[in-house]
Amino acid sequence: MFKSNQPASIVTAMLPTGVSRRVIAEVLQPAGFGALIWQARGTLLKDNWLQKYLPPISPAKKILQVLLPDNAVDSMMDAVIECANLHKQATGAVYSQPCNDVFVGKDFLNWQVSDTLPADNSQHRFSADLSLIVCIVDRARSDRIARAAVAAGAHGPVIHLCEGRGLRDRLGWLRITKQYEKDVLWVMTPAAESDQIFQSMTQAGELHLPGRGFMYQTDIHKGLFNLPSLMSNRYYAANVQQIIRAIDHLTGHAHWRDGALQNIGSGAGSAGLAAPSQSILTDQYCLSAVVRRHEHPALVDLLLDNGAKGVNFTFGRLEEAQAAQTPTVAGAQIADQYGVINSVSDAATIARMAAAIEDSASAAGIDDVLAYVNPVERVATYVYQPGRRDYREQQVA
Amino acid sequence: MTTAVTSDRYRLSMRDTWRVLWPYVRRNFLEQLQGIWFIVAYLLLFQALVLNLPIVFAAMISTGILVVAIGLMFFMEGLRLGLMPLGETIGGLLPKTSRLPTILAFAFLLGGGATFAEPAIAVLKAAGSGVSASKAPLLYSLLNEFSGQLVASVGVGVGLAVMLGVLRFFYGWPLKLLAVPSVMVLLVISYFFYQVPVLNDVLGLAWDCGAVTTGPVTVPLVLALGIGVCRVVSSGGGGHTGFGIVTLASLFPILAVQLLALYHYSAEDYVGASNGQPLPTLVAENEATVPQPELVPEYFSVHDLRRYRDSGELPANSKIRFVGGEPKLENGALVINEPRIVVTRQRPQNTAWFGDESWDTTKEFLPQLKTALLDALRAIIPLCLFLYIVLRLVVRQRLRPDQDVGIGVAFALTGMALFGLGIALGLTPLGAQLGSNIPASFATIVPWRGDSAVGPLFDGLAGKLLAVGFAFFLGYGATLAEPALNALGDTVERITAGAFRKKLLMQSVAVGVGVGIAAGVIKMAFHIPLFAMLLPAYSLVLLLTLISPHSFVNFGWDSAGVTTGPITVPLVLAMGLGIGGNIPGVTDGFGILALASVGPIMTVLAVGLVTRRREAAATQPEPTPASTPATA
Repeated sequence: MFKSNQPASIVTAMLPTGVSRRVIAEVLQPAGFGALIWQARGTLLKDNWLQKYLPPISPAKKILQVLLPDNAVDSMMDAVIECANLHKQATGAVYSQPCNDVFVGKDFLNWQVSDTLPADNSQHRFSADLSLIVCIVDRARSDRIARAAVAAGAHGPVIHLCEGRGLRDRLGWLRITKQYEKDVLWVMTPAAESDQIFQSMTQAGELHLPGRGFMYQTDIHKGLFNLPSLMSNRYYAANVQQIIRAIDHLTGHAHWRDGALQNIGSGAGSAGLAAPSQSILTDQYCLSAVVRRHEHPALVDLLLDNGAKGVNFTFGRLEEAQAAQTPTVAGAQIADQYGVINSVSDAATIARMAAAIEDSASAAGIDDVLAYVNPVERVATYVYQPGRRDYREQQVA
Repeated sequence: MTTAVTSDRYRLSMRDTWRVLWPYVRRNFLEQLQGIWFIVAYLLLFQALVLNLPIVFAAMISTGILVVAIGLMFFMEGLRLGLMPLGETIGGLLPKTSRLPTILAFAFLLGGGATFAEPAIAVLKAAGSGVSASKAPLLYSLLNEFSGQLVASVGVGVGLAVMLGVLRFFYGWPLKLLAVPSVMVLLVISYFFYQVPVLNDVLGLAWDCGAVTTGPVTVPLVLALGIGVCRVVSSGGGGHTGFGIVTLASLFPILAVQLLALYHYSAEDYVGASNGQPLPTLVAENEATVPQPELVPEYFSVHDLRRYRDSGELPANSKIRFVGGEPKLENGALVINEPRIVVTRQRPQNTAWFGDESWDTTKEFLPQLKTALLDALRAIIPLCLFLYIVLRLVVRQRLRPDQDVGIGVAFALTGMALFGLGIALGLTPLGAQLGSNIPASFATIVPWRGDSAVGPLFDGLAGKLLAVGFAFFLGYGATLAEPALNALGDTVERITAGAFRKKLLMQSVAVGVGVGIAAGVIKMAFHIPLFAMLLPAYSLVLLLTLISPHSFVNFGWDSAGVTTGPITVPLVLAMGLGIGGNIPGVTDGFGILALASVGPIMTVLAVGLVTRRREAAATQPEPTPASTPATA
């Protein structure tokens, strides 16, 4: 396990399933990068009673993540945009986030820095002031939160499933009561609009109450998103983004949006319905780790033992650049799944967790691992306050 | 490998334990209640309001239904915690540690073993209880003297199917490529059978075997195994995600049984054939005519006469008829002189909701529990033991202590036992009364445990149509409660990251089963040969399959295999036998289940095609107007 000194970024793309296969084959593998890829869905909300019984089938999406040296980010994002036609409406999104610290295990295949890539010369102008809101909630509530996000002006969230460990795993056999799968909603938004969206998602999810979920917002360094906002599966002649863009085009400026947004946001706050500010945490960090599926429990244990309150993880496939090296049975490649582990905590705890990975992951036999830390702007979740009578807390044994 | 979380373990007081546990129990219990309320309410209301008959054994049935809900609650949690992780773990590890022959041998043993653990032969025997040796000799032989061979051939069929299904993951064959030719072969053989009277009787049995072999333990295990294998195997095809084994496991047994029947047909060693045993003489010949019970009038007593003399009031439910007399025309009016006035009365319609008997005395609680427990042990323990041995000896892995597989298996066992008990106490008697009472809509019958006959509610066609309508909702409701389908729905939702909702799958499958069972009743009521129903149904299915995307083919065909489980089968069989018994010439209940598995393939594929088109219309990327800048 070593700490990498080279500045690196995580590039994430949210793409329709068919396009993702093309992007991997045509962009990433020729360049020598493997990508972690997992299943997600777009949002398709119900709009009539019948859909309670016959819910719509949401469009299948894939989320791709690849760790790149900073100098390769722009050209790679360019190539992804070209390949996936991301400049068109309702296609997908791509963005990059620089990592604070990167730790790479000695067996991790993905890390091959080639200096042959051209330096920053993007042909596309990326938006710089973007935010990503990630919301982890109960499956039954995700539609409601997605609706709130769309109503507040966001695109329809891209949702995937995650499993998690945390509080209930410290309860002995009672851990069976855990609802083991949650929805993770991803919303990309211009930073200026993120307050409203964050606020309305917090309210819709009642995240200030215990056990309701966890939501955090991180800054996106640069990116481009053209995700559809679907309120229903009916066919509309134009989607919301197209209408907004058309108004932009007609008026010749985007200032008309400011007024509209203030009107949307001020309602709940001025009525005193805003989530209590105690449930918003700032100065947090997110530790992410990528590890082989069968080794993830050990790593999660390590994180939990080192102060993580809760850890969530999702499983995906690592599309390696050198696929020929993997063993085969009957002509089929045999490749392990990988888990992406995320845990958000305060700076001190994250440092402890990162140190634990650096020091003891290798000792525990986990060498095929990648870990990195990103800053988190704010977190909305239930925060225990001493003196509140409705929930008692037991002493730690 | 490692230990579980060591630090910060919380200790809870009793009260807090309860506070953690209660929402969990409530959530799971309500979820199961949601699944079964429809079928229970439907059956009860139909009996009480439409057929106007009291519900017999009300106390026992309600106890049974409560036990079913609790049992399902445990069983589904057991699947989630125990059986499915076990299957997935092995499926995910086996391709990494073993060679292909080992994997295929494992798959074959698992499939074959599952058939013996959840034997369908009892169900099939029940369906064929009215089969007579003289009318359908080969069918009679297969169900009696050759029943061992029947089970064995079904087991081999399922084993081969699981093996081929796993092999398919490695080579990336699409399911279409396997399922479509298989069905075509089956249809061709069926056509041959249809031409030969002796073989034609077996057709229903063969197709039903495909439907009943996949039970609530086998399906989740096999699904989990497939998902585990697909997790590590990438053959480049994409699209297949671990489904498809169940499909093959419901097609291959049909072929196996057909081949077995062909063998015995050519060897001529079935009852009454040249090399076989002579026809048993003890078998009571089931005549083509069904004895018609008479509507019994209830006679007045001397007591009634005396009361009429005293008060001048006729007793309730009296009917007045005029007999005899001289009709004459007087001033344009019809006058009848000196008629006799006859007052009779029918036995009053029973308006009570519940019958007098509240508990079947032949069904004691404890012996029933023992039977159910033994069945559950047989269905779960050998399979789990087999998987565990494979895990330890072949894959050489241990289970993590915090994976709770042990708790899961214990839950599954408890759940299965309670579930079986609940079905025996609750759903079977309820289904049996409804099944034998439903012919009252078109025939005169003595109701189940009743003492006097009730007349046809409607004449001829309308009555039969009522029975068909009843069958549709019976199939619909029973399917929603099926545990194997619930497990499939959960899995589909998980694999597609929530894009394909469980509810959509369940509802479309349930409608499909309803249609299939209604079609089965039509077949019985109007004497349509099974082949004439199967051919158009499967032709349509094949057409839909060819034009559907691969993922829907996987879900659709797999859901066909899981539909007929421990809830549907007793209800449908009771109904089939009840209706069959009141239609001259129909002696067995075969064929309904086969049709019940075609229906869901059709509906799921159709739903897939419809929503797919709508979704494509909604997400079609619009070409950016030329005047707007291409980049934001």
